[in-house]
Amino acid sequence: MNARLWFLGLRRTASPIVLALALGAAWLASREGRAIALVEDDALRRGLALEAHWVAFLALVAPLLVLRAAALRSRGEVAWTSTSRAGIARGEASLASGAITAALLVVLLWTALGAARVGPSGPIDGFAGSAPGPDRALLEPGQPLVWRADVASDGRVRARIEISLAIAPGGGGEARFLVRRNGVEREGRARVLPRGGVEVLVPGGEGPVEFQLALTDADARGFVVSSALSLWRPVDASEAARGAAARVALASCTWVALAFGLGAWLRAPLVALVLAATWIATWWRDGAWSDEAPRWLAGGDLARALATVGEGRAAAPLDALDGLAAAACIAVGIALAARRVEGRP
Amino acid sequence: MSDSARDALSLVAVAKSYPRLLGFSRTPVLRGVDLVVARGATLGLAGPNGSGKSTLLRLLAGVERPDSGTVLVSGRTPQAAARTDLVGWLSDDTAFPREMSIRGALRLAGSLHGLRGRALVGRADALLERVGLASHARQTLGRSSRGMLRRFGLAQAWIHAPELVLLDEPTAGLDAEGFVVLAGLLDEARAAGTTVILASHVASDLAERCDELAVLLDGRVAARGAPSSVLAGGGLLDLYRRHARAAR
Repeated sequence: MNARLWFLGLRRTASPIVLALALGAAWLASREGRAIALVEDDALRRGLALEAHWVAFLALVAPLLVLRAAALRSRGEVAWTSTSRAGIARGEASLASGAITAALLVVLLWTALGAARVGPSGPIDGFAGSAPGPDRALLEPGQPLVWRADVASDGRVRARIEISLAIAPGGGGEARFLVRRNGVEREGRARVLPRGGVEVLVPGGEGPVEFQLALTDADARGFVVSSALSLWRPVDASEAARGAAARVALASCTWVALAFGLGAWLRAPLVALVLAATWIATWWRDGAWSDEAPRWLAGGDLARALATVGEGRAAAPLDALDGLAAAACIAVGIALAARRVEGRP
Repeated sequence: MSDSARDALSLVAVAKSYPRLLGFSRTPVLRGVDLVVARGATLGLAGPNGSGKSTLLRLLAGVERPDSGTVLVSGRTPQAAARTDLVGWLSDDTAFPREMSIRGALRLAGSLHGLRGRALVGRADALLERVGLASHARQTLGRSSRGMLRRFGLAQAWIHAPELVLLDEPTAGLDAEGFVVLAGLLDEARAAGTTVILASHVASDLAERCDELAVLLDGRVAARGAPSSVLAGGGLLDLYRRHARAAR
């Protein structure tokens, strides 16, 4: 890698003045509003503030990073960097690395601002895995859904299932969620209108447990919207902040690298539109809130993860597959740029 | 018969075309170029707009590949030659990083060719002095005039003391002092045994500075020889007209 080209990429992507303006605007936009201040639950209020903080970043700062990365290379500039021992691929990789470093620095700065704003907190629920859901989705009165699943629990694990209800006028919208293990039974109830989750504390132990989901109102109908149960266990609130920052950092690196590559072929605004359309379509697609996001698209589950943070919980931590997906997207970005340079300097 | 390892460059039946109409059709630019240049020669490449001069230099620089034919630089592929820093290139449409200082951009160019530390700093400063930009070294390229950018372009082409220098319209935008700088660099190149290919459509540039002249017309070498013999008679314009009449 060439350090001077790396610094050029860094400097161009994170132009100090433009970036300061964008960060300032995003900071103002993410201020805690009256609605958030009215929320009494501490974890929920902090979660909402954290979600607002990162949504402002995605709306105001991330597009700027993408636009600047897409416009990083001006036409004709590669002519003198490509006829050297550094070579086309290494030159492009150096510039892209600079742009990615710039994105990481900006995310780091935004994370620090978020930590200063939201501050530390006590334990919250953190995502701990999934378990199979019921075979049938339709939920009718008097016909509870019953199924078994292996769930290990230390007595602090909560199981949650997402449902959607249709209720006749004057009826209730309550769902009852039961779990049994070795004769120990726990129950959770929630009023759902028209969509939401119902949770239950899973008794401690290993092996299979029996779940039962039922409606308490004779006029209600509904269906299960998620194909699996989500399991939650208490974690420190800082995990939610760290998880959100890591997800946004990985997604930002991916966007910046792809913008750099596509910017060699398309104009910067068009690149921003293409990337925005791809990711927003993934975030808002049918089933985006119930099924797993496509793992090959780094940041494909970012919207759902931020929504989880907004509910006062911590989303699933990133794993190696997320890193691999981001690395693959970054490699595609660099390859796109190099291919263009080889074709027409 | 040429010896490709001893020649500075050789092109055999080189053809190159660019796609148009979404790739359904292609526009031929080079239609079978044969050209061998000995080490240490200064060859002028003449031809009207669109004759393929810049394309030929891009093939030699290794940033494009021919559709057919063979291109060799010191007996290697142009890409291999570029990787070993044999080639210096000033292209016609080269843009330089506007926000960088002249000194910083030249050091960047040197670092791409593997120069480091004191060797890089010394070489860059010496070349800035040589092309008359030492007093403007801290000025950004974005605030430099076209002539200064051209002189910077010459400096970056020579930063790693290459064996082959490709210059595409090097006099465009040069002031009187710039012409002197270019002439000096070409004299030094000749003395050092550096091969120079100088593309221009200005006959006087080529006649004064080159040992030999090759004229590209319709993607082929239409004439080659000493500048005095190629330009004898009505000069380049007359040559172009005669070629057009013969083609009809």
